[in-house]
Amino acid sequence: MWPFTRKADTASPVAPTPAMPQIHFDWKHLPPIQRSVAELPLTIPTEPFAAELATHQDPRATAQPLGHNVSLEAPAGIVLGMARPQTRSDGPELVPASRPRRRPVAQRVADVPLLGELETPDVDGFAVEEPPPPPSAPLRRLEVSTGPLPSVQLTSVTPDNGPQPLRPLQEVAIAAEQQPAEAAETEESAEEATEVPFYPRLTLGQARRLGLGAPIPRVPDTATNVQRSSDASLSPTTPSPPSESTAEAEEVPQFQPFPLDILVNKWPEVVAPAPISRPQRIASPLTVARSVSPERPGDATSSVEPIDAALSQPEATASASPPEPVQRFAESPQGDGVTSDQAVPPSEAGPVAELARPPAIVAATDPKRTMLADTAIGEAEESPTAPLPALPLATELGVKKSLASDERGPDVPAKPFDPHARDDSSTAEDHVDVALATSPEARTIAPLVSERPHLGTAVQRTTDSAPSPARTATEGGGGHDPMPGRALLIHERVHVDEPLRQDAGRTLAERPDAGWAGMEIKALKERSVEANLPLPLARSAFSPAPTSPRDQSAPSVQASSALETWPSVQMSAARETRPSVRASSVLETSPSVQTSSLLETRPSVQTSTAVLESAIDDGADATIQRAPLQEWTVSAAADLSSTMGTAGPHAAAETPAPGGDDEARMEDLAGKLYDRIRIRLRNELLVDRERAGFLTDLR
Amino acid sequence: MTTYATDRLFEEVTYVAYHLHWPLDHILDLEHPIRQRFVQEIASINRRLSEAAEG
Repeated sequence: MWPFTRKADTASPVAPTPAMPQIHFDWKHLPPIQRSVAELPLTIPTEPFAAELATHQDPRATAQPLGHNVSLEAPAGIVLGMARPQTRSDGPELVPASRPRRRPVAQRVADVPLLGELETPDVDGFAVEEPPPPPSAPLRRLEVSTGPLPSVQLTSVTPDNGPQPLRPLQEVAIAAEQQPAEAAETEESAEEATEVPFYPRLTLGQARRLGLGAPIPRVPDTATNVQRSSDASLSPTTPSPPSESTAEAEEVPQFQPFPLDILVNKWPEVVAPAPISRPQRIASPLTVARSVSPERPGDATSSVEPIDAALSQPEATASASPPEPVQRFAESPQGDGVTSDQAVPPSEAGPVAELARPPAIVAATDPKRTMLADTAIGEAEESPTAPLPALPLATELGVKKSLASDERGPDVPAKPFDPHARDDSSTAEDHVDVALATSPEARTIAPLVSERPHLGTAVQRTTDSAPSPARTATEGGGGHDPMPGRALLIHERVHVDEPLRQDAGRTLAERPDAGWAGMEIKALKERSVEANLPLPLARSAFSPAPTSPRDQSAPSVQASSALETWPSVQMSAARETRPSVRASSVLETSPSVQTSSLLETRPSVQTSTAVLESAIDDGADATIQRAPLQEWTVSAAADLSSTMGTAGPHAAAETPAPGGDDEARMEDLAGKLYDRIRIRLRNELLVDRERAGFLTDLR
Repeated sequence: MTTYATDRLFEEVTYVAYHLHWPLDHILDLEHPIRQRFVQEIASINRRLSEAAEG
């Protein structure tokens, strides 16, 4: 069984229940309690505050202007409004200050009360009264033209109003001639008709009061006459003082005919020449030159050679002295274009005059001296009127030497020459100096040499004109030595004519060295001559001792100096391989007699000629390069032969005919050379420009 | 927006300077009410003078 069971009721009697209190509900019947305190006020009233709040506002009213107006007509940007200033019109009133008005002075004076009236002061007197306006000036009414404005009538040129031809000058002159007479008549009538109006002359006091000076007398009515007198005074042939001319003009108001006008215009009757052109008419150099040009009959050489006389006309100082060819050439007016064109060229006269000279002055026909004569001619071309410094310089040292050589005579053999005794500056012209000293004519020639170098142009001209006079002189004999003329021709041919002639027949490719060699020789020769311009007599280093053995060896000096002068010539001669046509002729033209004499007396010359002969035998052409040697050798021979008086008639026959178109050939040669040079330079220029990057087509 | 008229300002400055002979800087340093007050005073003086002259 279950042990946890309830115990049995056996033991408990029923006990009494306690009493419950009672609750009363009386209060429900009581009245409510009443409010003893009033309602408290609010610190922030609710309704106004809620009305101020933005959230309690209607957003449509504030958000509308701040919205975005997106439309086609909407302005750019946001515009909240335009602030337009408004001017305040209110403000204090600006009352101007009241000014006390002043009465006029006259009124105040009038208002001043008299002594008796002080008792009754006039108050109205202080009233302001405006002064009466000044009487205005009467208005002036300008007339107004209502008519049409005057118009300028434009005239059209009719065919009749074409340009009218000028009247011939003769008519004008005749009219001008007739005009003075009429003018004189009209002047008188005009004076009578138009009397000068009488103006009352002021006295000195009146004039000073008017600020004027003393009254001057009436000006004579001679203004035109004064002008004419001034024109008349311009005449150089009738000079007169101005006062006299004025007086004459007043008396005779006619023009004096100008003499030159009569000569030029052939109008003796013309009396109104233009005064401005008178000085121009006076200066007529052509007329003056022609007037002087007539030949002079008193020249000694005029009978021998009229051309020479014509050339020696203008000389004035040398006319009395015996004719000296070089001096005469120096003074011949070759620079005058008129006479030189009309007469024979000066280069012709040189050999003509010299070859026609008597044997006494044959020494003057030395080829070297002829060259000097050409030099003198060249000088004369530049300054025909230059003074001749020959005579004063003839007393120089070289002259003494020449005198010594003359005393020695032609037969005296030359003594050995000491080259070291000479000046270092001695060049090819030294032998020229010596050669000049050996001839008596050198005294007059030498100074001219120092004036002008030897010109190739003169030589060419001489070559062109040489045949006729030289040939006639040598063929005719005439008792003088023809060797100088032949030497001259040889010299000129070798120097000028031969190179050009040989070059002319060959193309430029065939003669690459010939042309340049000839030019080189030419330039070298000219250079040497130019370098020794003052050489002949101005050089003081020259030994003056006439009796010294050094001076006695002058001829050998000549030859040796020739060898010294042209070293390049000999060197270039070895290069030449052209046929020696002219060289052989040159040797043929040299006379054997004189050559032998040279060989006997001058060993150095012999040496030089031997060199030449060997060169010729070898077949080498030494025409151009050998030319100086040949020249000086032959000139030395001519120097001796001139004194010996030997003649070589065959020389004239052998003289080559000079070329007449040297200038044309020179032009041709120059054209060929310059073309090639120009093409080469142009190509180089193009290459340079191409390399530089700015090549343009220059063709 | 209301601004002070420039012409009016110049007129008042000139009015004060004409009567009081003050320099321009002193007149421009005045405040607007003070300047207007001076203007009123000058106007009153002138009014009295004119009244006295007329009267």
